[in-house]
Amino acid sequence: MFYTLSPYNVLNGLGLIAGLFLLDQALERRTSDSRDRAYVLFVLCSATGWLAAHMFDALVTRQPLGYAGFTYYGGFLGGGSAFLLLSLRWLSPDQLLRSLNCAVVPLLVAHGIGRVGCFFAGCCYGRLLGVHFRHPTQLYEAAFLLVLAAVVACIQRRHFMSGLRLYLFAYPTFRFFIEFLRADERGSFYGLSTSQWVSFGLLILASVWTYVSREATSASASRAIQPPSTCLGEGQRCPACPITGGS
Amino acid sequence: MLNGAMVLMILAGIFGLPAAACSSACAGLGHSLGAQNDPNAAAGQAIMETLKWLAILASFGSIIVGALVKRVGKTVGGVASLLFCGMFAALLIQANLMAILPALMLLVAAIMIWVAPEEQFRNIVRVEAAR
Repeated sequence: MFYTLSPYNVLNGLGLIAGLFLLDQALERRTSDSRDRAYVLFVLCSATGWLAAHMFDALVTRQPLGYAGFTYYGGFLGGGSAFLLLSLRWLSPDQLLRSLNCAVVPLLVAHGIGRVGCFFAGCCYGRLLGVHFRHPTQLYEAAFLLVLAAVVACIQRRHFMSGLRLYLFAYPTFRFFIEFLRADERGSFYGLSTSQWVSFGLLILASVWTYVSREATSASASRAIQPPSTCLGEGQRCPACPITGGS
Repeated sequence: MLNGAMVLMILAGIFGLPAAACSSACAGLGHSLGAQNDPNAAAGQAIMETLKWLAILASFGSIIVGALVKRVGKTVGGVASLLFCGMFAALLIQANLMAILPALMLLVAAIMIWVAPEEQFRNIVRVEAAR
């Protein structure tokens, strides 16, 4: 036999294909004007993310680049940063937010299928469960990611723009706790693994983003009901006034 | 048709990764045996190094072009697919049989791109100009 297919490669390839199809459909439904630009940016940033995932793993496990594996968070941070930088030139802030929300479900599905590949490859394994078995942390994570994808897809039918925020709260929280069950070598600082520190940082980022956007929303709502300084009062003719309604 | 070509190109890139690893191992073996300093083997070692980079380029190139095949158009997609097919076929010089499958997949993908109807492509410039 001159060819051996690795389940890890096959499942990661299938995850990538499924993610690309879902992303294409989501961008087509939700972003009419920036669909193609966003898709091309996502593909290019996935390649950057792949490279970043490899480099991040080499950094945290202190291995030479050729021997290192891949770290999800390395790809997420590297690809995400590249996307944010490139979108400054190619997408407006509204298009950027819409595109990122389109990418949440495809990312979750691709990541979930990829984790099944991790299970077959024997990486990202868990602590001993009894004498002979280990916690199948890859399968726990795959199940969580696919369920979360279904939940986000349901929520996005009514509140499309809340998908990204839900992801930024749910996945890092899950990852923080599942890391306690993992036993593979992935680097650690001050008693916590690298992924737990990254999860912690992402949760802070998501909290700050939620707080800032709520403040901005409430400020704009209160500005909308403030009378202008030139208000003539109730019963006066003032066409631009939101209080008197132009009466 | 074009979706099939896209899937084939991405899978060819994924299946080409072991071929690239094998090619790198060949080049690394020659390097560790000192072939680059041997006057009789230096040219062969240079070919091995070139083939290693061709394999790596073909693997990642076919994944990226496969993902973008609807956007890059028929000519670029078809020519790139044939080019990557040729790169994998070149690995047969070093008897790298792992390259046969991705090369065949890319050949089929090139034919599928060639026969795909024009309206399945999304030329970015044309779409934005129309809007």
